[in-house]
Amino acid sequence: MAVGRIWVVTESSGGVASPAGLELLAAARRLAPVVEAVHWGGDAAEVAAVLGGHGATRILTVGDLEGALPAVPVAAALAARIEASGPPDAVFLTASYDQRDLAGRLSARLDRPVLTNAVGVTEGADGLLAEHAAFGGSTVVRARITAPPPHLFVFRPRTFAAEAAGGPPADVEVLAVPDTGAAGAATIVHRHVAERAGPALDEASVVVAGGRGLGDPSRFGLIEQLARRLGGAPAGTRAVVDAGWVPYSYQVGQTGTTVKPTVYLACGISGATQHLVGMKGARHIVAINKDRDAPIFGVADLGVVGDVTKVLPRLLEALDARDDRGGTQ
Amino acid sequence: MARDPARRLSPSHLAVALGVVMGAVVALSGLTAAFADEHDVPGAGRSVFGNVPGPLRAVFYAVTAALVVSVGVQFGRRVRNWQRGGPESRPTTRANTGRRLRRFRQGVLMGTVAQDRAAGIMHSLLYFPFLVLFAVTVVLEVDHLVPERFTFLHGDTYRAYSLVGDVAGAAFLAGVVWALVRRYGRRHFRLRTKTRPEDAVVLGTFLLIAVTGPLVEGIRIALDGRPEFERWSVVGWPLSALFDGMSAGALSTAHQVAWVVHVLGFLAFLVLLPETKLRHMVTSPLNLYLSDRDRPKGAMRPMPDLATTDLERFGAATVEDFTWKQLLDTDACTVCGRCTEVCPAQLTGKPLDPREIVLKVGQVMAESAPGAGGPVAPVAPVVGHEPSLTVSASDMFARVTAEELWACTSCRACDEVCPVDIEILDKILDMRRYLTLMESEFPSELGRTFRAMENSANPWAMDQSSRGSWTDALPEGVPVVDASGLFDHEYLYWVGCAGSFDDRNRKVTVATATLLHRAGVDFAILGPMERCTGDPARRTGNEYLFQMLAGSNVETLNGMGVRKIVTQCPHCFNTLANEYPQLGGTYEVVHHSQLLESLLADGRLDLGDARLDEKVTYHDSCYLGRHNDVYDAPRRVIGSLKGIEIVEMGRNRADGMCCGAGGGRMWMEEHTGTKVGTERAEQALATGATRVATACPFCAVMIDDGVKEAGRDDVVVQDIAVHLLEALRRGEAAGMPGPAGFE
Amino acid sequence: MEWVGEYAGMKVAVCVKQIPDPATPGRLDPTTNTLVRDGKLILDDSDAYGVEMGLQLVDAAGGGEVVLVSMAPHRETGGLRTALAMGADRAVLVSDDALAGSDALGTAKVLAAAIRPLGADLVLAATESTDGYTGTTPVQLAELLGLPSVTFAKRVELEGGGLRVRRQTEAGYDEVTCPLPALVTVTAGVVEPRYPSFKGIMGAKNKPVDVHTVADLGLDPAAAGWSGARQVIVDVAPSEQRRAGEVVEDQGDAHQAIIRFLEQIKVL
Repeated sequence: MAVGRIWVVTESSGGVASPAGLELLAAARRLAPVVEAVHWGGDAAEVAAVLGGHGATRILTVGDLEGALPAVPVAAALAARIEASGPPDAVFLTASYDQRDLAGRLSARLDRPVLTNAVGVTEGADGLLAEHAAFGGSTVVRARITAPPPHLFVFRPRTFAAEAAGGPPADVEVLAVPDTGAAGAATIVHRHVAERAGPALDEASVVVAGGRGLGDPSRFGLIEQLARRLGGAPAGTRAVVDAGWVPYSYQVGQTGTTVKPTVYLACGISGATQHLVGMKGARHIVAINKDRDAPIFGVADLGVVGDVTKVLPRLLEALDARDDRGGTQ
Repeated sequence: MARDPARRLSPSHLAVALGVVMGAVVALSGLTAAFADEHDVPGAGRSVFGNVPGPLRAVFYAVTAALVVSVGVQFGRRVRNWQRGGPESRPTTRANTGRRLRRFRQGVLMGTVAQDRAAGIMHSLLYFPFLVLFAVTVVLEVDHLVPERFTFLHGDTYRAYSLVGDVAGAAFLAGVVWALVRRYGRRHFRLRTKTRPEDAVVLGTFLLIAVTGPLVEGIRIALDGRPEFERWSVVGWPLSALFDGMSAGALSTAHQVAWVVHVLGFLAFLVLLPETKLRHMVTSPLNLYLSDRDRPKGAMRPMPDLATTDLERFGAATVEDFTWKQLLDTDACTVCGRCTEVCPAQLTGKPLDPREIVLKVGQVMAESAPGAGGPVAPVAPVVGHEPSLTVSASDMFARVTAEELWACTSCRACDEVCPVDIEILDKILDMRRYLTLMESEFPSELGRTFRAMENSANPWAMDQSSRGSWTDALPEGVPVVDASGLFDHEYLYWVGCAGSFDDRNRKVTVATATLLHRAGVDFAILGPMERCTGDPARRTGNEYLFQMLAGSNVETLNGMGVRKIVTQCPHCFNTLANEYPQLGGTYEVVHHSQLLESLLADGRLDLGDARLDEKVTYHDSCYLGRHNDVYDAPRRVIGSLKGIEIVEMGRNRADGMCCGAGGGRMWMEEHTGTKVGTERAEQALATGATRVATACPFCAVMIDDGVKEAGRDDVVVQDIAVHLLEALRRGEAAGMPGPAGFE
Repeated sequence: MEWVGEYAGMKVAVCVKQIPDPATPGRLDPTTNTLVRDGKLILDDSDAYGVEMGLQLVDAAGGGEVVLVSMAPHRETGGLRTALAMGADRAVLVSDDALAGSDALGTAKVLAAAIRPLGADLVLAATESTDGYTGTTPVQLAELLGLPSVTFAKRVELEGGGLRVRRQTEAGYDEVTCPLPALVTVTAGVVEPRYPSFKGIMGAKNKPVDVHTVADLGLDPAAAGWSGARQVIVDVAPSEQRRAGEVVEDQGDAHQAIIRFLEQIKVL
């Protein structure tokens, strides 16, 4: 059952396409001859070149939504398009706030199941197989949808690497938005861009935490730098909070904040139970500590036995160098 | 006492009746004296009321009699206040009479007060001479009233009597002066913070009595012409010299004035006795007598089965929610502040002061007494009225704040140090019960712990199925039993949540199990069938959760017929041994320190060449020490090692300071003041010890945190079992070629 | 506070999931090799926020009702009792063997059928459940009910007859207004869920729980459960990507190992 057409949901802002959509375009292009980008906002013409360059032949845009939350009008417009012109074989979405909503709306509207949290996709004999990580990443579960198309897949961000294909600018097709009635009534009245450098601790997908192993409050700057560099939130143990290095809002643990990030970097943290309780829900744990017997290594996916005050500066330097080279390996 | 407040004749009537009887005795003796002839005093002796005009004597008897009755009435009102409390059984039985009297004796003989030596001597100088002087007065009155042929105060008897009276008088004066110096000169912290005008009034009255007493005597001796036998009045005699040469008229007037002032001092005492903390002369001995109770020190007050009870109110929020004994307690308070001085929360800047808890409960009780609200309060508060702090209802939380209650580590230092056996901790925990069960008002982080205990049977929400995974570190393994069969091992090793899940305490578990194996002890564990004993829930007021966890544990243990349990956690130890009997689970529970001690004593655990060349200080766990009086076993275990030097911290054994984790504080934030654990760690470091030995998983965590915070990573904080095993392994390695060391 | 009257009698439906009690040791089913937990079910932690939010909103509205809606096997009410103890007024439970294996959309259809007759002004749910975390059920439910939805709410207030919600975004948050009835999903930590008082726990024992079957709700049994899910697991294989629990000694190059790891898990 060959895959012929995939819709890739993209997001953009002020004429700049977000990287997640470009990543999905690269994956979709390898699987289907026709890849079309779903888009909303007033900047379809501005992103036509970059989306085309990444393999989209056409942009299906819903246009400016005038403050409406996108999921309802976009789902309605896509459903109408499917009714009129037939479904694609698959719709690829990224697990962003808006696209998770869109996946749900589309699924219910079209009465199609949706596979979420995918970390990969391959083509099987009976259609696309979504890959899911299980048991802390040690196991891959592959699943397939048996319902008629379109098959809906929601991928985690950064599952694929974006790759330019050198195609021409995509055609822009403006989709009409049917009346959405009461369901479409939620309206954004104000967008607040956070002034802080990173996400809140309990929402961050990356948490970089420092403990007493840093030795000195001034070295907590390394934690802040790394957190900023990884788009994550800095955090601390009760020990460093009690010692006054950082405020209580940084505290992760039994009596502080409980975090469940994608990755938790424990730097100079031995792993007292009261701390472990607050972070053991992290999907991945990286630990750097001098003491090989430290309990933190018992829960770490990657443990580095070493001096955190030496490893962190080298890590920051290497990340900078990596940036200069232009991204992925 | 007040089993049934509706009963017609209540203890409060008894107090009034006693007052009336004693007043009547006074009045009668006055009447008798008025109609009896003056005794002729042959030779050495004194004439009672000599030089005191008849009308003055009559007034004296009348006023004294009236005041004695009023003392009875006042105490009756206080007793009626205690009767507002709920029932509590403190019967005097054949079994406990000995203990009751022993404790009473210890109290009245100043045994409990003298634990602080300076205070004890000072108080003894007030108390014993006061009793002697009172007896001296009564004896004189008796001698005065008996028919002449029965009089005895003459000759050598009189000389001895004079000597005793004067020495007591001098001692009393010394005591009063010392008390004044302690309170107003030295400005001792615990006294200074609660010194009120009434303290000055009380001590001033005492001073007046102490000074005018010998003065009256001196003038009387001068008036009598300084007869030779009065030399035995070792104070009065030299004083009389001062008045030598004054005219008889002047002496007579001076004597009458001094006598009146002295008597006024005594009458003032009668007024002050029920109205000020002087009342402790009556209430404290009573409280000491009643202190023996039918549950161990470590057990909280039992509660009904919450799953089936029809009661709708739990814990204490009003005066009526306490028991009569808990209310009597507050009236027994002497405001000495010893509890304040030892409280770890108070010492580290928390809002809790145990003395204030007693005083506040007492204040709410006094100010909400029946008939309160009028211009004159029917019952005086424990210490003087503070007009800004009035309460209109019997609501405890009008005065006590939740912050105070949650600051308590339940270390029991206050109860242990109290010279009059006030049970402060019970009051705090009962009020916590109210806050948690009725209001759900507790530090928010505690909610997470409750949920974890509810859903995962341990306070950290660790995976319950991995409870027994520490046994992976033991090559020989440990048998895991489940509830399906009968228990056929000698001991059930109750590992506890910390020993099962906390990495550093799993090492203690492994060490303990290894030592037990070496000693050939047959033991098994419950593994995932073991649930938290419920101690953190109970001590944070969540009786419902406690009963859920404890009930299921008792069911498991009883179902298998477990008899002997060993545990390394003093909290598990205390709950299993002292509280599970309340739920039908009675076992022989030992702490690992006790079992190790006996294995060492029997020679079953052979130390061989075990050596630890370290300076070690042992930190007492509150729940092993004060709650269960186990002080020696852990010291003997660690002290059995060769090469070891034991140093004690200033605060040790019954005076040991808490690590800050008890009473569920382990699972609460400590934002106010300094940290209790840090403070205690500093005390340990100050001994110069290279190692700290602990016997409780939570102490180990708290003290270790404190030691690390002080930057002393070189000081090893570990459980006694770990030190012991390390020494054993070193000894064995030393006997073999190759490097010594602990895995 | 002039709007108070507009909401009086506000009805909030809170979707809650009951998950197996981790304290009960599971056993391996010898035929399927899957972990079987026979013990009681408990309230999913992430749903406690929705319950608390519902209680607070009804409070702010000056009265009303919080109704729990749940789907669980064997008429399990363990988790519902916890939420009722917190203060919810009653619960609707859908329990039917035919529902085993339901996917997110199937679950949404069942919940929609259970909620529709309630006439709720507001439907609350967690952003995702602790054990499943697909995170699409609430929005599917909103679509089936024809309601507007605001997901990832960090703050919810009643305003002018509708809602004002702070919705989490990648950049910060959006202020969103939304008329009622509506569906809102709340993030963990949005409010501090109350711990039920003993009074609440006792009172919860007598609160009504209506139990429905698939047939009661007029649903097609074929659309529910395994068959309704229309998705299959094709295979399960060990991941080639990394070994768990690797510990490396720093020889001056450990930062490279960290970078490789972060790349593997797509953080870089």
